[in-house]
Amino acid sequence: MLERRSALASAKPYVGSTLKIAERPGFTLTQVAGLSPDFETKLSTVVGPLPETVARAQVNDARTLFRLGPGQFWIVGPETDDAAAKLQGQCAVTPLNSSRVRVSLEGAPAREALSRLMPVDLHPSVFTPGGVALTGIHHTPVTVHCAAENAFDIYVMRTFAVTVWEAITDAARLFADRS
Amino acid sequence: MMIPCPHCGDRDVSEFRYGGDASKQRPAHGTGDLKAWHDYVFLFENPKGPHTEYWQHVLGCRRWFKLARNTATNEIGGVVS
Repeated sequence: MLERRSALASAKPYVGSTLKIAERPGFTLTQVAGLSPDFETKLSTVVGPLPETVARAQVNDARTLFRLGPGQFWIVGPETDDAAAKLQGQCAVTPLNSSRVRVSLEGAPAREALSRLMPVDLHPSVFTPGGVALTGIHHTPVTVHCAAENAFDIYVMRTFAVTVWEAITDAARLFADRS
Repeated sequence: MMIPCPHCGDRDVSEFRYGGDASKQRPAHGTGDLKAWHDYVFLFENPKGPHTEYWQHVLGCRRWFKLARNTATNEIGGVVS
């Protein structure tokens, strides 16, 4: 029996009192794309309302939707999510479950730590809960979702997960012992 | 320098990749005129001032687009359709 192995299994854990950084596994990630004029209408009948802009996520019950590009979306759902099966044949469906790692940053210094890593305005009045940024950390494309006031989910490509993890934990060392 | 991605809005230049001069006319497919291909591939004007160029939002939505930029001042003239 094959067992799923985390891409961060070999990464050095981060220990801090005010900032929590950890892998957040247990999700299904499905990329959907379509060129037909009624693509978004068809998609919304299966997964509910779509995010209006690239900068905002749309939460529909257990699913979170990101608008990644023209006619292109990510659907993040629970491990049992059947969105991919329901959309099969209606648009281009690409399961990305095994290609991305989700890293969570949580705590008061999370914004300051992230601001050292990516060229995005992270001021609380600008990057508010529900905000999304397609950007880069350490020259690697990442999708950053502001899940709560000081909580962020970072979706990073599996093969770059350790590199990005090290960049994040290195940037966060300043806050490791701050109380 | 902030670049206006047509999909993502104003973003930092570090998220983009420069894709070359967009004002050049590519020779037609099948053209056997080697001088035309040589000039297209190797010769560049390198102007100081207004310029139209290709950019890709490589760390974002991956979209390619044409951008008007002043090479002397880095003033952005906007996305060119």
